[in-house]
Amino acid sequence: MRIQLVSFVAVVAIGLTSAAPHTLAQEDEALTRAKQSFAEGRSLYLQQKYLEAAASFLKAYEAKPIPAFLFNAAVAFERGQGYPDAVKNFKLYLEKAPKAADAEEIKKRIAALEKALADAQPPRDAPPDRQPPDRQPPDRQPPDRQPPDRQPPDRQPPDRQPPDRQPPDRQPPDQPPRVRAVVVPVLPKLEPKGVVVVSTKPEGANLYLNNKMNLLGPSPWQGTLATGEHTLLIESKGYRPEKKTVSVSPDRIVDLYVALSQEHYLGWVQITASSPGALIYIDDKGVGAVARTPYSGFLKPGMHKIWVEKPGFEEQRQEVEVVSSSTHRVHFDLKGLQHGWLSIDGPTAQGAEVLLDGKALCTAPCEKVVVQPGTHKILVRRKGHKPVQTELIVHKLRDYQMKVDLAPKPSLVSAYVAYGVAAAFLAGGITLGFLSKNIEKDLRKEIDDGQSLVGSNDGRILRGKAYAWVANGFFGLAGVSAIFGIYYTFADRGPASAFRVSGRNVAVLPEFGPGYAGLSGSFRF
Amino acid sequence: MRSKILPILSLFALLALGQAGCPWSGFDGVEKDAPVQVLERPEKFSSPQFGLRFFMLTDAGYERSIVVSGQYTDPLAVIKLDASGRIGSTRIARVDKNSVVLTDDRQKNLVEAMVRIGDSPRGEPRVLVGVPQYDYLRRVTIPETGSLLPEEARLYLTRPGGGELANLGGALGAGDLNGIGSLDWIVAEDHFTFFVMDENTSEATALQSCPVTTPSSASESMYRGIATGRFFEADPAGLQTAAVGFPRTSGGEVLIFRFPSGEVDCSADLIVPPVAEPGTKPQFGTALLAADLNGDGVDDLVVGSPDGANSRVFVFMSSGAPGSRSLQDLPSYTLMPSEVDPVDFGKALGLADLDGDGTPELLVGDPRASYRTNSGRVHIFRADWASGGAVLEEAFLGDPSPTAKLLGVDLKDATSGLGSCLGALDWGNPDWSGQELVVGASELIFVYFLTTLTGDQGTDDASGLPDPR
Repeated sequence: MRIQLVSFVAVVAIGLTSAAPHTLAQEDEALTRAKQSFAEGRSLYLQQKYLEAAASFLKAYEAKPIPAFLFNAAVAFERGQGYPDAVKNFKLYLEKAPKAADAEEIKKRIAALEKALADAQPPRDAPPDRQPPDRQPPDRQPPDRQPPDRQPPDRQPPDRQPPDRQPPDRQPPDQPPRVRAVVVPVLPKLEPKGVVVVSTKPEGANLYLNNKMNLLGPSPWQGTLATGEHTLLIESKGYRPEKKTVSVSPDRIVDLYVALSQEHYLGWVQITASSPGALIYIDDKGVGAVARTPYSGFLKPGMHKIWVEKPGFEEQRQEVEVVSSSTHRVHFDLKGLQHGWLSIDGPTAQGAEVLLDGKALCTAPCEKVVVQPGTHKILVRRKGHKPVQTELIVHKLRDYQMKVDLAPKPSLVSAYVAYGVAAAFLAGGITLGFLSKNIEKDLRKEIDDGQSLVGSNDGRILRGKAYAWVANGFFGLAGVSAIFGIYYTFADRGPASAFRVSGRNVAVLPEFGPGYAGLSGSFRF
Repeated sequence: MRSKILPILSLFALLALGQAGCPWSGFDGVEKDAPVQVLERPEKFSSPQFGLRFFMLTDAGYERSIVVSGQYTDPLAVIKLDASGRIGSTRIARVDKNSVVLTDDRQKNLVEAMVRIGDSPRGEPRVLVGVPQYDYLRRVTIPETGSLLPEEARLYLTRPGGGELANLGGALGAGDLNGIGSLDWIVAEDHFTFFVMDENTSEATALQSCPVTTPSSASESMYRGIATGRFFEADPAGLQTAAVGFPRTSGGEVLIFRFPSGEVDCSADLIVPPVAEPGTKPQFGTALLAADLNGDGVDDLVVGSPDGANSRVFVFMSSGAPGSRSLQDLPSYTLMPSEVDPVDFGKALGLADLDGDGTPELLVGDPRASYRTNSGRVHIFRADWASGGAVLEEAFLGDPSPTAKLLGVDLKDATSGLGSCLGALDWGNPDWSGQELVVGASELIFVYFLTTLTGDQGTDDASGLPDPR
């Protein structure tokens, strides 16, 4: 194996807007101008010259079309009460960055601002030639232009002041009505964003944020990141992967340039799947997913196991032998699942045995046990608890959650007491029965022997009868007690075990995105 | 599941086993087979003195019927025994309030005497009962089935010459005294008026009466026992004679009346007790029994003389001499208890051929035999009357039983008033010719089925005892 080490690693210029520009020859001219304009805008913004700051941000955007510059310009316009321009630049920002994390928030802000502007509009009979100040496009507004309502009257240009302007109390009735002030509702405070610019040599390297699950895109990349420290993973075929830490601040442009060194030891693997976003496990599933499809990155030479899994699809596995300095394409054709899942849980169901159609399925709690579509009888039973059984119609790609509340079985103490009483009565009955029988036997013997005259009122007859009656009574009571015992043994007393089943669909939908197309899975509750 | 079912099955198996071993009705069988059936007063028979007086209707074909006297509104009951000797049915002769004198004291309204009299025109047996407290008689027809029929509310007799009757009906007798073939009634009262009534007459009036003269003072006289019998062997008319006991006279006496030509001969023969012990006052004549004990064709007379520890029973055997009174003046035999002390020994007399040898055993009642236990006693004398009257065996029922034995059989049943009335009935057992002994007590009647007696049946030898059935 031939290993060629890196020729050099050149990094990194992190340019601060206030700091001296970096000296790398590869620095983009446009980026330099953008940085200068951003620095000017930031400085003006801090001096509360918001409209001038907005113009600088727009200037930076013209130099480098990074949507964050539009956002910053919109924020500056809004702070400078240039609400129409703020709205316009917010809209442009959303147009350029439709998937921005704050897109929803910006939409609500645009709506609020537009409503405030509409409320400030003059009546419909206003002269058509009258151009309200907020109708002017922001790009035509001079940088030093102050909002009309904030300019002192003596600073108004002479041509904009009407010659016949009278004091308000002297204003004739046919004068056009004055524009009402824009009343903006209280909105969350926004601040200009910092900008991150990442460029690599060679271009086209994959950029990941914090881990390989979050692909930012190929280099060069410009955008905004949340304020704070971030780790960027940079990988490019044939080059050694790099990991860089950047500190994002709203008052500067982070310009990261990475010159990747060539990698000859590792192999380059491109993992794709028919459905994007599938989790990728390499060599050991226990460590968790390392990336999502599509993915490309380095692997050490040798045999590697690659798993791909995605909800709604069958898990697939392939083995690939990675050769140094070679490119390996691994594609997974994911197949949609044809079964459903069953999860069973509940505070009283721990350790309960779950039977599916009479066969053991799992021991609760069960997590996403595969169940074939169809009608199934599910029995959950646990020692000392009342079982619960239900019939469940399972559809494919549906995840059924079964919450089971197993009620404890009624105590058998009452049954044992009843059995004990029955046994006692039985023993008493048998004893008295034998005594009665013996008396009868003795009397019979005396009668049959003819040696004595036994009277029908002989006391032994009465005693024997009493024994027999009491014995029979005891037998009856024993029977009744036994029946009570049986009742207490088998009666379903107390609350019954209960369950609740909820299902959620795992849908497989076609999905298209930059650089990929395929199917995606989602849950529907 | 198996662990639950097994103990249950075991329990029920034991239950079935125990039930199988315990008799539900076994003792009912024992009661039926008991050789002594104890008859208790039927609930619908209101008389509490059940067992004091009864007699059998064997001569009327009612083999298993006992006529029991009562009191108050139930003067008479006929009890029919079932196959096991227990009370099968009870028929009561009731009287309404208008036909009987009701008193608060039930004891005073007691039927003191009963006697079997001639059959009704329809051939049904009749009995005559006496209520001495109110000096009237009552005649009751006993059909085989249905209700008992009192023929009239009362039968009153009138004392010849006027004067009130006293204790009329305390003792009754019946016999063909006038020789015309029908039973006549013999009724007396305490003033020695002696009535002989021919039942063939439709009127219940005194036929004849004779004031009896006795050595005793009249004030002490009170008749008690009446016995009719053929005491005169050679009476050409074959008339019966009547023995009437007057136990309350000094020492007691028995008068023998004859009825020549259908009329009473008031010159009665007098039998007095043998020499009494000094200081005693025997009730000689309290009970009389006329029977041919020795089989010579002439009736002999048995006289009870209860007198505490000096109680005796005298047997006057007839001599058999023709044409004259054959009854001897002195008793042929004097019987007394040999093992226990008597109290009222001789208060009641009876005959029963218990061992079926053809010679009746003499039964003597001692109803107050034991002061301690208030229980009575019955003495049974088995004797060879024909060859000199030697007592072959003596036994007794009652206290202090069961030491005494009869023909080798232990005797039991000591109870109050035992021996107040004695009788016998023939149960009709083809394997046993002996009679069943019937003994009355204060509130019970005992029927002794002595077919279980051991020994050689029908032998006169003392050692030869009847065979068991």
